[in-house]
Amino acid sequence: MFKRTVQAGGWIVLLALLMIIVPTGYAHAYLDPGSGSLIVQIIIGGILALLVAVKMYWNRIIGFVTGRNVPDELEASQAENKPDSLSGDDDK
Amino acid sequence: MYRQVNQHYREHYDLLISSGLYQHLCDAGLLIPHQEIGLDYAQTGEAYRVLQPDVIPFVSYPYEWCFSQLKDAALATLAIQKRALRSGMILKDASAYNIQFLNGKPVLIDSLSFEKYEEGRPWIAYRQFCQHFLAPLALMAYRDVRLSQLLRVHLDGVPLDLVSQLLPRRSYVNLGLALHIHVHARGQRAFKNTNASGTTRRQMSRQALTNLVDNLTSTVQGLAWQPAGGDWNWTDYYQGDSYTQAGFEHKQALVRQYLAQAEPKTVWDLGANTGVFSRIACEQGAFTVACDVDPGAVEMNYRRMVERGESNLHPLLIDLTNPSPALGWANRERDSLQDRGQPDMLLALALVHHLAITNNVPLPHIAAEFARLGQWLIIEFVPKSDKKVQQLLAAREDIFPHYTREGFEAAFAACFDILDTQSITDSERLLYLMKAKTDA
Repeated sequence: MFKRTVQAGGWIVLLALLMIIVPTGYAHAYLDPGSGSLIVQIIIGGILALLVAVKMYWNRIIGFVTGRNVPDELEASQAENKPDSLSGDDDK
Repeated sequence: MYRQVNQHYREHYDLLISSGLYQHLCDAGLLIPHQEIGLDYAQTGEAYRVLQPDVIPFVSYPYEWCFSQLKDAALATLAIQKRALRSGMILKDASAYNIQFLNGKPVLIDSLSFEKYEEGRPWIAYRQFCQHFLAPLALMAYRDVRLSQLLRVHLDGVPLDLVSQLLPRRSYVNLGLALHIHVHARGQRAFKNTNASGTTRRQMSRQALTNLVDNLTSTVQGLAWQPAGGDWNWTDYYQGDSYTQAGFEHKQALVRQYLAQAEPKTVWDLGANTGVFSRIACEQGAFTVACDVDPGAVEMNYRRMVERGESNLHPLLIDLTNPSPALGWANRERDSLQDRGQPDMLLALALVHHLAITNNVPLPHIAAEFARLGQWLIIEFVPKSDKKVQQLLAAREDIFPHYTREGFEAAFAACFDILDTQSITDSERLLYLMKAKTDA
């Protein structure tokens, strides 16, 4: 739980740095923006994973409080996207 | 048209077939089917297979699509990507030019765009998806629908730094746009000199990639655009004060009659608005391209087409006074409109006064261009005494001495044989059936 919080904190700091420090405007790139996009994608992937985790924990808290069984979104998403080639449990 | 699969692509092509992905996508109408034909057709020695994909009757480009056509093309791309991941494959391109409309639905035409998915690698086509699809859709939804024309200038999609600047502040509230446009644009700038070779290994799990695709899907789905004016604008357009009910029905009957006489297989309806007359051509078995300059009209036409499941209609956004030119390297990557086919027949209904009067195109030039484009022509002459032309002339000087019935017929007789003329009931408008002269 602690490790996750630190990780989450890391993403937020990175995101904040990006938004505050880097100006928008004409990018004047000598090279095409290919490499930048790959790195950004990994950052965005991390932020989305964080948001999915938050949503999942939020659902569990609500479920605990209201006593209702709220479907676990992460498990549902993994089941839906399970690759055809793998059998058994997806250990992600 | 043939495509050669080279040896170095062999592993990917084999997986596409053996995993069942090819079959599944073809059955779902998302991928263009192909035949494998003999290696005699190979162009070079490295050929592994030669493919003959099914033919697309009319090629169109993203800058000719209305909002919903682009949105549906985007969603199709993401659906294909998601399904591919389940078969252990991934799209290496997410270009809007890889999607064409077939039977009214978006299909992927680049079967060789799939490659084997290596767990951990980020999606190489992410940037292209954001620039080709998400960026123009966001601009159309949040700023102005006409911004799709930026795709004509930027053939690899709208640069993200430009989109980020053009979008209003409220776009930051949309999580998907905030991440995939604004953060993405800044990230491109921040990391533009970074060596990314280290990132292409084991940095992005399959689940993270799926989350990304899901988030892009919900972001695209959340973008919407409504043509202005509500329903009135479109249903009233056709009649309004131009025709009485009897007149309008007479015009439809005449068009039906002329179509039956010419029996065209392909029709281009110029100035088609929401496609009332295009659909008469479709009813008679013609594949019809319905061109209009108004994004709202094309949008309403497309939505109706999707609602009804029509399959031989192709709504298209075209300004006839400035149609799509040839673009790209040596101006040969994207064809001009005129090079994209020879329709059997053109419909030019309630159009000629817009071209001749509003846009100053001389009648002989209009005639020559129509004769060049198609063989048969159904055209409506709207005289100066007509209320609509009066409106057009109200704000300008009348410099059109030759815009008369005689002038019109003389201009068109130079390139066409005028086969029939009818006067529309309760109107001064005239409908003509013409056939292009073959010795022109």
